[in-house]
Order: sequence, then structure tokens, then C-alpha cells
Amino acid sequence: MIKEDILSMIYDDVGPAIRSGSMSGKDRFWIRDGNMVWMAGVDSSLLSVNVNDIVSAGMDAAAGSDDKLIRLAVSILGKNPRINTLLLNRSTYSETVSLTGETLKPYVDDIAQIIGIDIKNLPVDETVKISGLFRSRSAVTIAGEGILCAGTSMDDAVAVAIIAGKAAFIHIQGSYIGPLSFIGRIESAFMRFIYRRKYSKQAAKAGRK
Amino acid sequence: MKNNIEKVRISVCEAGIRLSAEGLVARTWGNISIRIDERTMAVTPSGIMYGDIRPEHIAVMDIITGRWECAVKPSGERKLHAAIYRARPEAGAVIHTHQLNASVCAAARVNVEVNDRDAARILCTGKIFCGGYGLPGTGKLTTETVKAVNGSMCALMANHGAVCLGSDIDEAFTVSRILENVCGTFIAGKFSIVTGTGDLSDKNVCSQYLQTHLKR
Repeated sequence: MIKEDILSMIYDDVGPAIRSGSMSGKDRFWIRDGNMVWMAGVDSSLLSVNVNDIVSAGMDAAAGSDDKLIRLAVSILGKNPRINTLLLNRSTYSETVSLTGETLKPYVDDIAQIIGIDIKNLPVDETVKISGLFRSRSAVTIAGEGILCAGTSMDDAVAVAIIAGKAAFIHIQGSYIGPLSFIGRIESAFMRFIYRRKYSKQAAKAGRK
Repeated sequence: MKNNIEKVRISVCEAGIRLSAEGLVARTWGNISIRIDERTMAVTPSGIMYGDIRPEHIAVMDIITGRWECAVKPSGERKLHAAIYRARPEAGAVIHTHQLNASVCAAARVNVEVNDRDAARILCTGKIFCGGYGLPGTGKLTTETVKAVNGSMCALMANHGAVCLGSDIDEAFTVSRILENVCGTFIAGKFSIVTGTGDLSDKNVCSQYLQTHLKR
């Protein structure tokens, strides 16, 4: 993987989501590349990121970083082989939810399908618990930071980030119009199973072309 | 009303790209159909990104029997589309969206008052109803949604999103935009009552929410 590939993923996949308000320029990313992990500098804006902002580090070296989020990202990538990309969604709604400690529920079916039965809210140093949650979910809220979203590719992770942002939006805006209902655990798990099966078939077909 | 099938298939593909571009859905969610004639409709496939859908992916389906022809399986909500065409012979297009403000109202399962006279005229209703919950693709979801649409041009679908119809695809898109505005106005009104502020900017909504939450 070269820096230009990463830049084009950010421009093509992340850019439109930022411009639509689903994500934010303050978002961060981590991409697995063999035993390396690619990321942008802490102060880089994903709207204006350039090749000089993108850095790589060995997974082992990154695991010893001073930055807690980098350590968490490396731990998740290390324990979940199906995850290749992580995005931290820091939209206004995602950040707000991260400050309240609340768990987000599957308020609509796309949340159940693409993320899972809920989006739990945990402190960044709960590395083991968070890594474990990613086995059955595609997003976890990191207290005070935003919603961490996982995908097999950047395109996948962006889709998760858009839906996670939508979950935070519904949670907050919906609180003003009455109690929100949500899809139960069993139905959510069922919907996710069906969706993943359908999506993996489609991905396999696309791969054969 | 007999349209050329190939022309309709192309129109459905174009509408899919528009659905995604206008932010009404993400990824493969939502679905679109256009009536071909009294008996048949063309409907989007299941699980293919809108940008990748080609005319040969668009199934032609009998509205009465539910039989369809296509190499690709049509949307799981095809029965909902067919039921709407059966109930509303004047409907020429149906779209199922996951638009944001409508999704908020659908998650709260509220019926939404339409206070703007022009909007009420276009939506053919003074109140947008939210249909009862059902699993995607089930008869229950179809029955509840058709009941909620009744004589209007749209309905909310509990914990799903919204369905909008029109005499043609352009009108269905217009209905979805108006529905989004009406739901946004409804949320803004409630927000204003609860917080005493009319500023519905994301920053203010989140700041008010945080203040309320921290007081608990």
C-alpha cells in the first residue's frame, strides 16, 4: 500500500461523508497493512490531509505509543483479523454521545444490520473489552472521543461511520419528541446475520468479476 | 400508461443514483419501483449498490401475483411496493427511504402534524402516520405501511424509515423532500418547547442535550 492509495480512499470514501455532515474533518483512521498500520497525524484534518500527514508504524511499535487511541486501534486490529480499517467518527452528535456514557440502540434497521445489537460506551483504556465487542459489533463509542467504527475496507468502515453518526443523531434529536423505540436484541441479531450473509455473497460475486 | 420496459428500467437505475446522491439512503438500503402498466412494475434489486445497478438488474414484477422476472433477486420490500400500487391505482412510482429526520420520527413512532398548507396539499394529508412495526419484507410491515399511507402520499415505517409515492418518480422525490422538511419542522417545534430555544443548529442541539444529561 502506498500513501497515494490511502489519500484516494480518503478523498473518494471519507470526503463525501464529511461534506454531508455524517463524519467530521477531526475524524481519525487506522489501516492495517500486513504488520504495519497506517494513520494520519493527530492534528491532521481529513478534509485537507496530504501525503506528508500520513505515517506508518510497525504494529509492535504502535502498541507502545503514548497515544491511547493508537494503542487501542492496534489492539483491535491485532485481535480481530476481519477488521482492516478503523475510523473514529467525531461528528458533533457522535462526540456528544461519547460524553454522556450512554449506549446507543438499533433505532432503525440499518443500525441493526450494519453495526449490531447496540453501540456500547466505554473508556479508551478498556482495551480488552472494546476489542472483544468488535467481534460481534462494528462500532463502539469511546468515552470522550467519538464512535470507533470498523470495516474490512475503508468503504465498509465509512458505511459503518455514517450509520453510527445516524444512530447518535436519532438518539439526541429523538429525545425531544418522545421516548424512542428500538429493535430487540434477537431481531437485531437476526437482521445482522441476514445482512452480512447477503453482503458477503455480493462481495464474493464482485470479487469474481 | 404502458411504458417501454427498457426505458422504465433505465429510469429506475437513474432514480437509484439520485436516491443515494440526495442522501435519502446509504449503501444498498432503500428501494425504488416505477409502474410499467396497470399490472406490472419495475423494482430495484436486493443488495447491490445503487451506483452498480444496471438495467438488467431491474426486475419486472406482476403486481397481483408477485411473480417476477430477472437474473437478480428483487428488493425484499417488493411486496410492499406491489401492495401500494394495488391500493393506489394512480401511483406511478414508490420509493422507500432511510432519510434522517423521518427516521427520527419513525424511531419515536409518532404521527407528524403537517402545519404548512402547501406541504399538506402535496402530501394529501394534514397528518403523516407512522405504521406499526414489522420485520423487513414481512406481510405485517406491508399491511401496516399500506394502512398508514391510506389516501396520502407518504408514511413513516416504525424503526425503518419512510415510504413515498407519486404519479411519477419526480413527484415521489418531491414528496420525500417535503416529508423530510415536515419532520424537521416537527422536531424543531418540540425542541423549541422543551429547551426554550429555536436554534436547531447541530452545535446547539448537542449542547442543550449535554446540559440536560449532565443535570440528571
